[in-house]
Amino acid sequence: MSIGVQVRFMSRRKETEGKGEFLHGQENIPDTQTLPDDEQDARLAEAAAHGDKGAFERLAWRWWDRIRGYCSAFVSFDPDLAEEAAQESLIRLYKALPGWKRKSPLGGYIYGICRTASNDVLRKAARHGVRTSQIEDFQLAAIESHHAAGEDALYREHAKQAVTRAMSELPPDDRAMIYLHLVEDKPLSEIAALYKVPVGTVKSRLFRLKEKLGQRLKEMGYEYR
Amino acid sequence: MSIARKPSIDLRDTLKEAAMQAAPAFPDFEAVYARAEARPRALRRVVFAASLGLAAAAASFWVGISWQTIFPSEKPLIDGWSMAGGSSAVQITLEGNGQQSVVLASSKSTAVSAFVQGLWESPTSDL
Repeated sequence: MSIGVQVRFMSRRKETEGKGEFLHGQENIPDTQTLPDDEQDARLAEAAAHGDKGAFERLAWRWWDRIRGYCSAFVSFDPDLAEEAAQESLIRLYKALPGWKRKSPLGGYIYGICRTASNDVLRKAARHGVRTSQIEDFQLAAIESHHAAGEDALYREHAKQAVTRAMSELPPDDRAMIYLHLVEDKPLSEIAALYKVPVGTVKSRLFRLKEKLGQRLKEMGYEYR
Repeated sequence: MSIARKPSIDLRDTLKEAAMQAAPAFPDFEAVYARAEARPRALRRVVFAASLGLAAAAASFWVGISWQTIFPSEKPLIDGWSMAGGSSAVQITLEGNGQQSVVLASSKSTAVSAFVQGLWESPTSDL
């Protein structure tokens, strides 16, 4: 079975080989290097909205880590669902950009698209009875890495497995919310705007989520900082 | 590091690592464009199929209405009514031609009419 997992990981790497390069020329993209990040994104989004695929690809690359991280957290770190959710988010972003209004923040717009795309992917997976738990895969990956890289790698894999398990027990929106807060350092006001709830609600929800997560990790023999 | 010593986890780094490990490394732009451009075609197909279905339903409805008008299936409840008074107050006859229907005729007698009306309006269980 561990061989199966190895093969799966290898095949995933192979699948992604050669992808991700710019498919379209970058020469027509407005020069945004000297502008602040938000302004660069806005200019690229405007160009992409007018059909400039090169600008869309650059924008997607600039946001790629945030998009894939958010989608991955939303679908409970399942590689197949994360790939589907991230890809679906890009498709929807590509189609939705012409409707984006400059006065609305691009970050919230993109995360909103990722949220609905990931939600739809999860719903579709639930309808088709797709297994979403990756705990077993993590366990097997941990065993493999133990032999490969020693005790430190084994500890890291165990920790990752514990966090993944604790996170998978939270509802998808809560997982994504805590990811935005902890990893992306998003201010409460932005999270509140994305989830369309008051800032106070986000604050108390995050407090409860962290408490729940900490409690679950404690039960598994970990403390978090 | 021993697990018995309650190791501490850097939640931020661990979350990020888990997310990045599970997520695809590269965006597949070719697939994005292909699927984005295929979607309107799929949508058009759905709209065309839905409008075809609606048109078929509407046509079937109007054909049904016309058919009903030309060949009405509902027969009148009372085939005929005669005000000509006979000697009997109530006359019940079985129609011929093998039809299991009862023809009830009443004279102008108010009491009998009220009785018949009562029979007509009373629930089946009371009969």
